Amino acid sequence: MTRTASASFEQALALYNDGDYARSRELSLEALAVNPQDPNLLRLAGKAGLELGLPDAAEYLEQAADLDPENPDALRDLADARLAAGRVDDAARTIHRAIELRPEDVASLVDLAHLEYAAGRPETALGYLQTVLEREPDNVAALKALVGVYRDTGDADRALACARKIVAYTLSDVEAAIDVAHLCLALGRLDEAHDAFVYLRNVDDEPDHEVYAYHGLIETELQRERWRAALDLAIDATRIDRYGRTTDVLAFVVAQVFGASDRPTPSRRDVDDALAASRAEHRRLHASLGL
Amino acid sequence: MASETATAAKRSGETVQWTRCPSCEAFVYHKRLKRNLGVCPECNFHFRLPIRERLVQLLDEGSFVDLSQDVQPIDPLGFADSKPYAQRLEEAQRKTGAGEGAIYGPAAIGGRPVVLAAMDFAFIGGSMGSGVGEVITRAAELALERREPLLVISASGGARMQEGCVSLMQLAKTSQAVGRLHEEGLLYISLLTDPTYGGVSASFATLGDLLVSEPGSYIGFAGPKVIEQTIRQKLPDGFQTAGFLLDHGQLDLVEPRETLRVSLRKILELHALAGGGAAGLPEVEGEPPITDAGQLTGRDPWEIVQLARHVERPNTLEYVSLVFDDFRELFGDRLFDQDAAIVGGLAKLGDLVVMVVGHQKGHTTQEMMERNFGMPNPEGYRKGLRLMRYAAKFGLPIVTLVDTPGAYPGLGAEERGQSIAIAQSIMEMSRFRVPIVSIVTGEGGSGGALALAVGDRVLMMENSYYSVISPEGCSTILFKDAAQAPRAAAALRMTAPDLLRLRIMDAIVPEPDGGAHQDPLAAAQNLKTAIVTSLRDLLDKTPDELVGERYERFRLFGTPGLQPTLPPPEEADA
Repeated sequence: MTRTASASFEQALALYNDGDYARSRELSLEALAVNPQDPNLLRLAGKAGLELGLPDAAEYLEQAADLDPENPDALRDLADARLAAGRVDDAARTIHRAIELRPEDVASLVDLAHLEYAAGRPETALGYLQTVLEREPDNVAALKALVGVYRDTGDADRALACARKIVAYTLSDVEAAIDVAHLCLALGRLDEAHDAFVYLRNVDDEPDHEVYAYHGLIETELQRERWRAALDLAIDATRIDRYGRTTDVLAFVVAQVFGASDRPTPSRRDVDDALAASRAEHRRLHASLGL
Repeated sequence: MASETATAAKRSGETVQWTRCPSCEAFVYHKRLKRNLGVCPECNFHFRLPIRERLVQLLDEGSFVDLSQDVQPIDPLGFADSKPYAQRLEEAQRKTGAGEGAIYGPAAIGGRPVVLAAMDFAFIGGSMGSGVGEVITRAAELALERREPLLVISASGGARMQEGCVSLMQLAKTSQAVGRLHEEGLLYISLLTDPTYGGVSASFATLGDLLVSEPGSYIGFAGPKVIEQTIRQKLPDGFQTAGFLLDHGQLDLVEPRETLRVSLRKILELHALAGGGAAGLPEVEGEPPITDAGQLTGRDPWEIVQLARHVERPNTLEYVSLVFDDFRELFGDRLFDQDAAIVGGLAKLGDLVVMVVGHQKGHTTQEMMERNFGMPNPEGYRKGLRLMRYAAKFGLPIVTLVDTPGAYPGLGAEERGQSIAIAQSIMEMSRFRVPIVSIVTGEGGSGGALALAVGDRVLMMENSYYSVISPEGCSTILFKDAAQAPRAAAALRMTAPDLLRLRIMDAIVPEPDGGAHQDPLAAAQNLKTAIVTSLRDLLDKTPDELVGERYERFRLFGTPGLQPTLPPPEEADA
């Protein structure tokens, strides 16, 4: 790189780091007119173009990767562009090459696992994620991915084990706490589910979210057919539930404890559906905050 | 918190790069999601945005100056539940890094100044206490002082109960503040984001001149569970989403995040041009409107009825696209429904911004059904009237395009006050202090047509008709035979030459040979020429002159000595 090109690159890089992608790209392109084979300028033009959503971003990054084929960062950038364009298989191949050049890059391995999973190859994805955990047992990104993949593939036991690890590593991770509670319930580990929902009630401090943990506790007691305990919980939940979501649940539990009354009693199926909807809503509310 | 977990620093320094879409469950690469403005690239689910991210997406870079630094919440009741309110506030402040759940200050979008207020859902669920109410009120007052548009971005679970009735009073405090903006003719755009509920949706958030939201946002007064519990019924899918509200007439626009900034910028640009004079009108090349009935060809009235109803005849939205620029359609009556039989919105005619409102038909059976064959329900007229009030507020000339067989004669329409809706529209049109040009472009079916045709200038296309009743209806009632419709069409004197002589029409817009459908472009050029010619006359008049002359125009009809009469058809033919 000539001194002029180097100065332009530094300036363009500073603009990129400041988030001024348009000017960064403009400056990179100006410098490329003089030094068209400069891989750093090509990468920067591509990365800035990618941030701006320009269709030619991948072309610059491909040129950069061709000129600098042993640079794993250039390949990561190219994979990023290909992923942005929805070219999942191409992105996976590119990251794979980057990992060959830098085997210790576990973040790339996690990304590769996600791409393999998106491409419909869960076993391959699981293999990469296990490799990450062998190297870094506390890698939360890999653990989170494993929770999702195991759950999707019906291996709730392993999903639960991974979710528990996340909770152990990041105590304030509400999504992981939700995973633990819901998976315990799904697996019928009801004592553990009870503890997990109690934990969730403490850790989730979003306004009006306490009721979701109560619903989980009630569901646990319903599964255990401990009606009196369910009644106590339903009463407590009704007290804090300003949106009235627990009324039917309470009516059902009251009917189990005291017998039918003149109020129509919802069916067990209705109650189960309502509690399942409550679980889904709780998960959705937290996931949608994920940005 | 989850927002932390998504980007949580892993112990070894790595970050979680993937997030799971709560809608489609796909893993989404975090960078990709962010570049996609927080919209899932797989299923288009709009993630909730942190307030700062929202401002970055919407505002010109560096344009926002936060003036809310000194606004702090108060604890007027010394409230405590499981923990004191003061402690909850401290925790929220620590978590968000903000003093309160809203910020405000001057900003710009596309170089157009606005005063912005934005709520932060992360601060105690976006609840509105005294601090938030103070921010919104100050923003409205600043907009008033600076005579600039107000943009409020809402995200709230409702009033903050820890402040008791003081919180409730924020509904009144904020509503009266935006009420002053309305009185002063200042634009107020309300962007309702996911979720907007309770005391916020029932006050300033739904009082905007324009109510805008994003796909999938949940907006309502009571939560869906409360409603289900109360009415003991399952609610429909999508209940209280932005799309649901749009369909029920309660939002002007549902704009995807990708186009939201552009849309807001265009609206601001249109408003910046509002109040322009005749100098903004474009040059026109169409045939001039005809004011001498003798120049019109004496086509058989029944033939004209057929041409006016021709399935290929250009409809309102087609004329709008050919005559105007930058049309921004607005939806809903704000009361009950979005009636597709009437369309309307802001548009540019040269550099003059106008409000266009018109009946809308379709060409295919499917389109016709979607538009109810151009027969509006009361909600259509209430939408049209709402848009015309909007125009009057901002000094925008009104152009109406009339093409309806009549108002919809249905059970629901009667239950919801069809007569009242039409009457209200007629009366208020007569009093709007802005120029109004009305053109019958196809069928002018009775009161349903007149509800959009009380103009300073009323014109009709050469092959359209305007009548107190359809020829078929008249034939059945008076001639006791539906087959006499052609005779009724002639007897009713419903075509251009007769209506010009009766002074019902001020001028006639010429059509291409064979009718407008033979050459829609030429028809649109003539229509544009007629609108421009009419507005050129009207834009120099004062509001008092406009209203006074409009009064005299309609006062004339049927007044002895003033109302022209026609010779019987046979004599006229001779």
